[in-house]
Amino acid sequence: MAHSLGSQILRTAALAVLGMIVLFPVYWMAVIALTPTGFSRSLAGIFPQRITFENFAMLFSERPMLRWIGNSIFVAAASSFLSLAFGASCGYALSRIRFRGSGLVLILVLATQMMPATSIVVPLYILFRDFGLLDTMQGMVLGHISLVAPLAIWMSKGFFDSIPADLEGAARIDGCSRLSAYWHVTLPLALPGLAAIFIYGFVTSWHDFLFAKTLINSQSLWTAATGISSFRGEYFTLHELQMAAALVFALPVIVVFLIMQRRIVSGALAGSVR
Amino acid sequence: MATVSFSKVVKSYGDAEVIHGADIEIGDGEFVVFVGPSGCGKSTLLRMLAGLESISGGEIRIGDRVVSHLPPKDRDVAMVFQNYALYPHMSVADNIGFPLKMAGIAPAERRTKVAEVAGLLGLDGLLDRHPRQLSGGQRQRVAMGRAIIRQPSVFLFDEPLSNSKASAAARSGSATGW
Ligand SMILES: Nc1ncnc2c1ncn2[C@@H]1O[C@H](COP(=O)(O)OP(=O)(O)OP(=O)(O)O)[C@@H](O)[C@H]1O
Ligand SMILES: [Mg+2]
Repeated sequence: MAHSLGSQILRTAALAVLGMIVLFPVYWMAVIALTPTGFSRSLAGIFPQRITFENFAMLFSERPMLRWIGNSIFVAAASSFLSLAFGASCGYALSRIRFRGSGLVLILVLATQMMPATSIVVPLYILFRDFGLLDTMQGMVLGHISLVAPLAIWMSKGFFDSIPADLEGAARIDGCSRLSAYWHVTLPLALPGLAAIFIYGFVTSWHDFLFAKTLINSQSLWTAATGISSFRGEYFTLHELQMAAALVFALPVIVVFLIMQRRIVSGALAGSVR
Repeated sequence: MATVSFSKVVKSYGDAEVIHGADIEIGDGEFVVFVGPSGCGKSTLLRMLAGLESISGGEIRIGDRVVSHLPPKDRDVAMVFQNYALYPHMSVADNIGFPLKMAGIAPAERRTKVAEVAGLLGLDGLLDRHPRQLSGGQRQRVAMGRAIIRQPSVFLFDEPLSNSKASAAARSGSATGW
């Protein structure tokens, strides 16, 4: 046997400790969220003393949490879907069509990713103001597309590169136009990669606070990230409410991930070419 | 089946000329084999005839039609690729039936024809498998099935014998790169 009992116990223990370290903040979030409003400071020990759901109830009754989550879902879904459609088209062209300057295009796309978002947000603010996009959902979606699209282009080019061009050639001989060859052969094979891009886009948009805070003012258009930050006041912070909101905030991402991860399988190309 | 003629066909990739003015006449029903060292342009010749590579000069005809600038789907050719190029996400039956599906033939008729071709190539019993579950020789026979099911004017087989019995290929070929 390769592993002795001792080393196995050691490994399991190490993994358990690591798991606890990683999960403790999430656990603590839950503990505070379940503590009555205002009482988290008097917690003694690491277990909740009296469990209550009043924080969650308050989130949805006295604060527009549902609205904020809805806004976030809309912005994240729209911006990641549009980035995906745009990025996959560009990536496909960059992968399959040889044209002068394609290398330069790729470098320029990458260059937009080299600047930190904080340095882009001010020019973006001015630009959006001039186009009347400030404080609108469209503007928010557009802003997030600018965050996600560059990587979507690069990633999808990589996925398309890994799909042999001969498969499309075979489809075109078998009666497809370029477009239908893409539809019947290339797209289904690229789906796992495109699902990964969608998750990336969704999570990026979902977690964004900088753009959401800068480009949006009206409370009714806030995303959940801005909403959560509003529990932090100048003089005191509603920790219990904030943690409850953070828990709710994490849920949609987990759902999206669970739905999409089933599409991310490897080995889809096996057996196609020798 | 149809005649094929290349006249003064030139192909270059950038500055490198690969085909230097090919003149080839192939009669109706004729079986032709191109033999040559690796990299001499056999695959390129077949791909130009199929429409997957543009030509840099000259003219290609199939029957009495000039096909030099037609897209592959309008040339009425079938091809077995050097690397087979099977559709990995489709079953064997769907791979073989794909050209018929694109031609708009009804599923019922498609199934009959696929079964017929599969029988011919000894593939019955494998129809529900995916390409990754096949041996090299079986994959090649699937690629052949996909080519012969539609009865096109020209069959192209790129290196058909590197993996399978000569007789099977010889019975069904028209123009072949070896
Ligand atoms: N995209 C390309 N760009 C530049 N040169 C190419 C390209 N594709 C093929 N060539 C060149 O064209 C020549 C002919 O290639 P081809 O694939 O037709 O050879 P082949 O005769 O089929 O060889 P093999 O027996 O190894 O399959 C080769 O020298 C190859 O290097
Ligand atoms: Mg070759």
